[in-house]
Amino acid sequence: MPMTREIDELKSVTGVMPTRWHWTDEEFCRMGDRGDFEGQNVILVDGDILQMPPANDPHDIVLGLIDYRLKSLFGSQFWVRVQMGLRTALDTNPVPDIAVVAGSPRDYVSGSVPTQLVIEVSDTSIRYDLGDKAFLYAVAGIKDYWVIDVNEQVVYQFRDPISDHTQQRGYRYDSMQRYTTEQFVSPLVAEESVIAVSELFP
Amino acid sequence: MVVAPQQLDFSRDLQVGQRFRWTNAKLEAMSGLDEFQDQTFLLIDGELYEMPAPGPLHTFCVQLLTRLFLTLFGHSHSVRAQTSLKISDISNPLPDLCVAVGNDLLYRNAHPEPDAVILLIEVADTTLRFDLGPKSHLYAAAGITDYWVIDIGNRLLHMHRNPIADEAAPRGFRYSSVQILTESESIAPLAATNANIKVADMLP
Repeated sequence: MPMTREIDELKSVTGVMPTRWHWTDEEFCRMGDRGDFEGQNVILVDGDILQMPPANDPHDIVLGLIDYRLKSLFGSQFWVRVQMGLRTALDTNPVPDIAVVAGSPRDYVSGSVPTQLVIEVSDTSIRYDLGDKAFLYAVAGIKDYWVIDVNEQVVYQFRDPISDHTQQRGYRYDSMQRYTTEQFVSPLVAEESVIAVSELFP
Repeated sequence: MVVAPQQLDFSRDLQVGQRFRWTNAKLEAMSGLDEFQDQTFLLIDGELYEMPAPGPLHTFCVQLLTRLFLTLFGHSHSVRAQTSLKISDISNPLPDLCVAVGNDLLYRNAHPEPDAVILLIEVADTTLRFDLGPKSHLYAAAGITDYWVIDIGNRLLHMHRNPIADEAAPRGFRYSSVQILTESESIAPLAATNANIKVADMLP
């Protein structure tokens, strides 16, 4: 009869757990282009592909409204990128709802155009957008980050990304303002322009 | 901050930021592509893992086992080293050695299904904890009746038999019979009870 022993008695139950696969931004973008994530809403954070809630009509309507409003405000001075990739750190790409860059799409060919404004339209992910996402954009040094809360009909404006070693990612926004439908908001790059918060909701 | 987070209503939030779940089907669509040609993925519960590059000792041991079981089973069974085994839609752990009923030709166009597997062996050089833990639950859940772990570090063989349902186990299943054999002992696969294989002959 074979002897029976307890695993605890072994002198070494050691070993490494396998490492989770780490995706690069290049792989993530290529898979996206190829349609591997068809019908899925995914982002890349620290080499992990994360699943986001699927888009819905209330979200897309608000996204359409802010998109139109920004395009009429900025004209051809800025490029309003909608749900396109934005690399914010190594192997991190949160694919923001809106990213505004200076100049025309042609200027973007070099890839070094800084992003002036990032907006997330939030219906079913408000905690994530006000939390983890804000840290991602603070790390990237995005000076103006807005979260449009579809349900509460408010706009949160995050400004002044600063380094803060007490935070997991080392950065945070120093200021956050909340604007309701009676108020107005202005992009940092066009402070003379005003957008009525009420315009952003159906 | 004007509003403290605890004042906000998060009740509408869906589950966000969960890692993307892979399936064998999605993985297959991808692994045909050039950029992943040299990569071997391990799929466990919808998560992708890097297949660690095996060291020479591990490879040597797999080689030993392959020769040994080819000799034992001849053409009656298919002895397969480090090949695909879809134990569920979301798991493919690429076991080190898998013995399936029927000859190789049977699996020319499709890898064996778990119910065709009569013996599964993992060689634990640097992965003992994983092979005795999560992998044993996976294989028990897939109904693998005879699962061995060759423990190179302790020079032992861990034999797992009789998978049973157990709500307390991580995947709802576990092996009810686990025995540890030293290198002076011998063992026979469930599917070849007349065999007499020295544990020492399976250790590198």
